[in-house]
Amino acid sequence: MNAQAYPCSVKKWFWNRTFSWWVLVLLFLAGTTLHAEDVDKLPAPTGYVNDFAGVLDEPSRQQMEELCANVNKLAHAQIAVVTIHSLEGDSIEDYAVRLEEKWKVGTKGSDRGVLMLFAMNDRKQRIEVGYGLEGVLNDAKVGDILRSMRPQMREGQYGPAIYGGLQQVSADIASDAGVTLPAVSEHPARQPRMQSRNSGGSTLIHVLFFIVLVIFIFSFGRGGRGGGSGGGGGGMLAGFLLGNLLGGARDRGGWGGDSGGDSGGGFGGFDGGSSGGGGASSDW
Amino acid sequence: MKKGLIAVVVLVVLVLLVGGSAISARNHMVQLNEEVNQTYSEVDVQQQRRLDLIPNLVASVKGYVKEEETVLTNISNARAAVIAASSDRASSISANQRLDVALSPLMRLQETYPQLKGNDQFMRLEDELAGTENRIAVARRRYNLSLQSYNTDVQQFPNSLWAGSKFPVREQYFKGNPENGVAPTVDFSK
Repeated sequence: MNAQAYPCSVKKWFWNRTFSWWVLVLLFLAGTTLHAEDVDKLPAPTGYVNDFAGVLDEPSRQQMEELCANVNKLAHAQIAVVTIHSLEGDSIEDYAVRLEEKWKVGTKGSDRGVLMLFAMNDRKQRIEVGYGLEGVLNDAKVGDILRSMRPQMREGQYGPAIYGGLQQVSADIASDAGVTLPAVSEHPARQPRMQSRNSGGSTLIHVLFFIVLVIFIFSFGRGGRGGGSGGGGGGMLAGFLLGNLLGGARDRGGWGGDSGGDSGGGFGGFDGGSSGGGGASSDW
Repeated sequence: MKKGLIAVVVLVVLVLLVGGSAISARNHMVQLNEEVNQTYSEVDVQQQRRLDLIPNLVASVKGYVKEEETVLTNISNARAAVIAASSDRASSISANQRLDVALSPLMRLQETYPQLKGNDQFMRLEDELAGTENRIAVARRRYNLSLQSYNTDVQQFPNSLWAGSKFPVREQYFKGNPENGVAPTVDFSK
């Protein structure tokens, strides 16, 4: 806190420098793991809806979660909704197949699964259909659904657009299975519950990050050059990193353990379905 | 007397070890070989599906893109070549890869002919074609992977001793087509 407290010995100065660089390297690594979106590094699904890009409004997300739970319970088909920031140069078809190979959305053996994938920066969407549903959701039908979502996606109404698409997918699956899906309860725009979706370990890591960050800002901003001129760079960097952290925290909050009984049965993981590239993709 | 007994025991153990290794290696090769066949049959199914789709697609665009006669003729020729190709894997693979190249301009037609976007039938056929192309890509990737693990297995020591002529190294990979890297020479200004 107090810059004058640092003795100006060369050894101390050197130590400060080294320490700063180590912290910088560590933060850089942490930043890359927070934002890496390669399929191999994507965390395990925490619900039917996995909003890694953080673009869905809370009411839409809850409605989707409930609808997917109903489809799983009544029509025995699993739907995953996934938003990511970027494909990082991959094609959306390839990304979807590899994600499906990893998550195995769908029922085991009968492969009744659907993966709805949205890459926000690339403005690409794909609905990947598992083997068991290719007869119900043929490519042309899926293409029609994607085209119907485009206007709202273009306007940035991601929640309603994706929910609309999900409703069409669910309706087709339900009518094929001969079941009627109960109406999804209207979720008034209530306050999103900011609960940590991950275990306490993740929160602890965030707190540690924050502490390290504060130490870093002060040692880099004042200790390094001993003047006020270094503060600007440190501040900018700090702002960037803070934004990163807060953004990451926002992405992760929200999917609470207690859904207040409003989602028909909790999410129990995906069951081991597989797909072979069926479905359609489009841009928006 | 005792020496003879030891020699017999050692011999029996050796035979058991070598025989066991040979049997388990052969069984594993059979399993991998069947996986290669199974993944290839999926490739075959999807390529067949594409063959069935092409006539409909060509018919639906014919009225709109009269000046694309060469594209459509190329597709028809490549399709005929796939059908005519003998059933051995290498020639079927190369014929299908020529069809890949012939089909690629068709996927871009809607950029050149905006009026095709208003044609629902065309859009849905394009969805089906894109979906089939993607299924083919997935099936080929899985086939390549299974072929790779088969080839690795039969070449590794000591498996290579037991592979014999029944489990040869097989080279029928789907390779990225070098022609795909070159922009197609279709003249849209005609």
